[in-house]
Amino acid sequence: MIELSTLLNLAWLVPGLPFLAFIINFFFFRKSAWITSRLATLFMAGSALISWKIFYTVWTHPKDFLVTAQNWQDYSSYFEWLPLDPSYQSAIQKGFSINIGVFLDPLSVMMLAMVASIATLIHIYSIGYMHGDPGKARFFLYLSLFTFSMLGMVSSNNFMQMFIFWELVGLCSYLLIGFYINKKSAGDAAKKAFIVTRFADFGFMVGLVLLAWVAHDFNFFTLSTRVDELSGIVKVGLFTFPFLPMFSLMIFMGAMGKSGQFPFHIWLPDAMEGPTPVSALIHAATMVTAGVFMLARCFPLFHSGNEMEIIAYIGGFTALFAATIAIVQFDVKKILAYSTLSQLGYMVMGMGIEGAIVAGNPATGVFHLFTHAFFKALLFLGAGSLIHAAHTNDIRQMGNMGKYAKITSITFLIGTLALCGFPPFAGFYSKDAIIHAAHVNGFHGLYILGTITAFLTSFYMARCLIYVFCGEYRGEGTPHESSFTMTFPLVVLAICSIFVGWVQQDFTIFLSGGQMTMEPLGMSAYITSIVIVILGFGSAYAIFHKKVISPEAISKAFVFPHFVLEKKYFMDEIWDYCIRNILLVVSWICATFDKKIVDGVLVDGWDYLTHASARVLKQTQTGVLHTYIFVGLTSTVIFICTLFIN
Amino acid sequence: MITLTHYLVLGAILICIGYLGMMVRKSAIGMLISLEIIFNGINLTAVAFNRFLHPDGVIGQIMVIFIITVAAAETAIALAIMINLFKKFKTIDVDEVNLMKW
Amino acid sequence: MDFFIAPEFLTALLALFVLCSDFFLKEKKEHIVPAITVSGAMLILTVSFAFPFIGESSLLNSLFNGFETSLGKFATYSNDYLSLFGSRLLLVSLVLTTLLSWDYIQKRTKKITEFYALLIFATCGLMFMVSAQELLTFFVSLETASMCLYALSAYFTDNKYSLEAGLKYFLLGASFSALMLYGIVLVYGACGTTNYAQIATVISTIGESGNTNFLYAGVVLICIGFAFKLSLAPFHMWAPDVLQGAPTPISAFLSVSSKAAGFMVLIRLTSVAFTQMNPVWVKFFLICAIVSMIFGNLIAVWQTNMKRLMAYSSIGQVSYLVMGIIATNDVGTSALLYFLVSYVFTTLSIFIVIACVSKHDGDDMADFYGLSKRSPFVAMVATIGILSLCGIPPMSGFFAKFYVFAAAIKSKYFTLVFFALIATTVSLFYYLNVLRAMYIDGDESHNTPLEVANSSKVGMWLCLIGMMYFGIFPQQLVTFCNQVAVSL
Repeated sequence: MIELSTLLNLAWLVPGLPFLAFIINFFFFRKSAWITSRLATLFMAGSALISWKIFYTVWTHPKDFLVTAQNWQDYSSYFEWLPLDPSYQSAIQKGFSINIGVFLDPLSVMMLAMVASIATLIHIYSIGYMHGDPGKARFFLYLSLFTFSMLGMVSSNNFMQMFIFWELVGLCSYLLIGFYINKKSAGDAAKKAFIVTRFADFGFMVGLVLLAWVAHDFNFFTLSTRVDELSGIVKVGLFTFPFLPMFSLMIFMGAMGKSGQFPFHIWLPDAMEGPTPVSALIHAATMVTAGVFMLARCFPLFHSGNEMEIIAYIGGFTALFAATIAIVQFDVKKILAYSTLSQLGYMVMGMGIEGAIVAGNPATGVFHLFTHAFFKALLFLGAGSLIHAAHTNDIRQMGNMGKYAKITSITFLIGTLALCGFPPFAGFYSKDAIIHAAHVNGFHGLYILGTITAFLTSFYMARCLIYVFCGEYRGEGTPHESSFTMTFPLVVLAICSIFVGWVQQDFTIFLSGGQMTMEPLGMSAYITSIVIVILGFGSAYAIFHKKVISPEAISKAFVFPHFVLEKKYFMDEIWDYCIRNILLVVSWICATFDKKIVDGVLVDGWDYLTHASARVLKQTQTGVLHTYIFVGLTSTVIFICTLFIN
Repeated sequence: MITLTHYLVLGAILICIGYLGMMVRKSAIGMLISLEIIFNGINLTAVAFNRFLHPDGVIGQIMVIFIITVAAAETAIALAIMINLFKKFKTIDVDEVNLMKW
Repeated sequence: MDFFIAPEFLTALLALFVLCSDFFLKEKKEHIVPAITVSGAMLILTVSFAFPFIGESSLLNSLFNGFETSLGKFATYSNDYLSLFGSRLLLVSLVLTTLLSWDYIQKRTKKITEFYALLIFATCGLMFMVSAQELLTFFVSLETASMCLYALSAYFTDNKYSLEAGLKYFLLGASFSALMLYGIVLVYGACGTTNYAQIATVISTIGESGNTNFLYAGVVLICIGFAFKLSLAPFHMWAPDVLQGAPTPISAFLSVSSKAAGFMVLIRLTSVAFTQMNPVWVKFFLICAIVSMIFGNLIAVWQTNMKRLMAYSSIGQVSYLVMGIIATNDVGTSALLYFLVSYVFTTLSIFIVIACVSKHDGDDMADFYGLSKRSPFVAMVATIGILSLCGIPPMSGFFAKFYVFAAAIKSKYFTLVFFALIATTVSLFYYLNVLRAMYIDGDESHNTPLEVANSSKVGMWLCLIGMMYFGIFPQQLVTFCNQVAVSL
């Protein structure tokens, strides 16, 4: 094993290289897309290699990486960025401050490796996908910046660094969703994503302020030892509340925004306006899982709190909710987006269940995050390749794509099987572990939700496959297979999607620093899963291919439910209504108050007062020397006199 | 018998006269002279303190020497400024030198 | 090595060298002399970083053996962390002021060498003032610096404004110096010593015996002297006139270096010599701070002359700075030191811009019209400086205010912080006026590109780096400030 200090030094390079690429490209090669894309990819690959090196070391020595509140400083390398309490006295006794740096524990190492490798593949893919786009250089700039921010976020050891990078990835997401600056819908989607996540981040911020106020500490590990102390009732201003549940729900609100949990999910489907590699990287594999990552990071802090049950139900509900909407979508990226939401729901559900029980194991949720990153990136990239081939997003205009784009089709199929959880593909091991956990720990409602969602997942993915690959090609022109730079990442990801699930046992050991193990899934899980997938595929086949019951007939028979689904449960409208009416009324009141009282009385009055009193006061400055001496000496006499009168 | 109080009161009177002069004199030269009176009052106080309260050291006397030096240097600079001022303004009445105000 | 590597000594040598260089230089004086000054100051700065000299100077002690009282011998002068901090800060300020003067002086007068020599002598005096360990040395150093500054204020002898500034500064400065001197004599009378540490010892044993009246009066008079030097209201009235009339580099020096040095001495006095007297001076500075907040910020609203505006603004800034003294704790001291660094860079950045932008004899705000088009870089520097003065992150001004307010809150001066916050909002009125002048006001006639000398550009870059670096990475500086504060 190489030295820990060497590893830490190397770890700086993982976020450092993409940042360097960003800086270099920004200052020198903004004009040349060719150089920008190659340079960014090269740096990204270097970063990925280093992250694998670190990952390998930790993977082979999980017991040496058991990070606790006592030894966390050994595993982090940071500089004190902002001392919030200027009174600390020496280097040893550190005060309350904001630290920025890198931190190596199994979770962050796993995330580093995962994000860096997927980002590398997507960089390679984008070289082909963005070919000929006038904004290619800008695209790679944003991509580098995003990767840097994401890597910086996962390697943080405190809430504040996490928050800073959390907002940075939000910014990058905004920039990349609105990448096609001439498209109004892209701009709207970007705004929507930004506003919705910012709205949710408000909770995060409130949580951080509470934390700074009450606990005077941002570090994950030192905080986790103070759980008992922090669980007590605190008084902040006029409010009294139990600190930790309040804090965790506030923080979770931020996670809900980023990870698209109901009711903040509305931004994610719209975010598909961005270029497809972006959807794959940011809105499927990495950024949207930040919320789950955060839950895993704070796991010791939230562990065994009742609020975790709420979190689990929110997750389970989102999973089912999103899956139902996916059934009626025709845009391939939208289908995948809803599927992402649904899978994120699974992850949050997994974290919630494990958090609510005593012997909870965060590995359940995190492992799904890990496998999902591979197969969802694969599916998105495959979808991108299909879109590239057919020049449309609409699955009704595709068909028989297998004939034209073989590699894309095969890899897409593998991705689908992995997503549906067909053994032995990756999704099975992670998703069924979550459903299994719900079953074993007595969350029967969640178990049923999870199972139904699994069926729906198979159903809508099969529907998608049937539209894309069966029948005749219904679009215009002749589709063609994509270039090598695009198919190569597909193949790599497909291989990963097959195999990564098999490491489930090792993964648990690795993640817990050798402290926990996970039971392998039993035979019943295999059988249930296979049956569900076959049921889902079979019913979709019957309806959409054989037309045993034609889909039109179903939608006619269930006009209202279909309409509701097509309208996505009116969530957009509800939000819109809320904003338009409630918010506007409130803001009208505020605006009136602002105009009449604040502007009219306070600001204008203040302005008047300031200028008027200043006009009087400036008369004292007569320009005559004797006035100055007189004023000075009189004041002196007054000061001396008051001194002796007292 | 002349006591410390006598010296201190005399010093204080000198200082007050000096500051009064600073306030009422219009001529810059007059103000300069007032300043000298102030410094003399301070000097007197310093040596009186040294003689009556702290006779085992010489700090008060050293102080006086330094003050005299400083006062002399200040006078030199002040006169230089006033000569130039007179060339430009044709007056050394400080109240008429008020281009800058408010 | 001893005293010979102390920045004070080296700076004195540099001043003499510059003065003597006049005998040898015939041509290109206007470039060589400032070049010598800048490089010399940089060299001294490097020496002070490479070989920081801490400790008493055995050489000086053997020279001045006479300072002995019933409490024993004492050092008149010694280098500690605060004087190290002070000399570095004053040298940085000297470098920036010289860069600011380079082009400005060359365009306006033929008397080059004396200007820089006096500037360095003033800096040297201020350095000695910070390192002084007793009141008399402090006073003599203060007068050394002041006399250089009297002369420099009236340096443009063919300019009425400059002469008026010199006259006003001299007469007021000298009379308030005398007041402070009287205070020093009274403290001497009460304590029998002028050494800070010994004064503290005497005060702690003096109890209720007869001499406390002298002591109290002396302390108040010394504080008044400081209030005058720091331009705290109601002793601020010299500042607007002098800063407006004096040559711009001298206005900058007066509002930066002499204030920074004054504050550092004040820190020394309040935390060493007069710690026990804190009810007296805390009350005094509290009143001064509140009055300054009102006067400085309100009168500034009506100003159209940039230098005069900066003078009022600095009265306002000083009232925030003095909160660090009022807080009477280590946090306050450390915050004040951090604020001083921020203040040096911020204020100098704006003065450099003023020197570049203003036309001959006049620094009207109208000169700033359309600056964003005439020279985007200069406009950016001014904008960042103004924002830093307003206290907007990530500029260093934000943390400066933040720490000072935090220190005051820690000592429970809520009313003071409340006043300070109101004053900050009022200050936006005039700060934003400057921004408006640069970005909105002006028409086509204000489009001629502005030519900026290289020296000024370098100065601006340095200020910019200073403001941004200490704003974004305040940690190192805060640690050093803490070290200084704790060492006292």
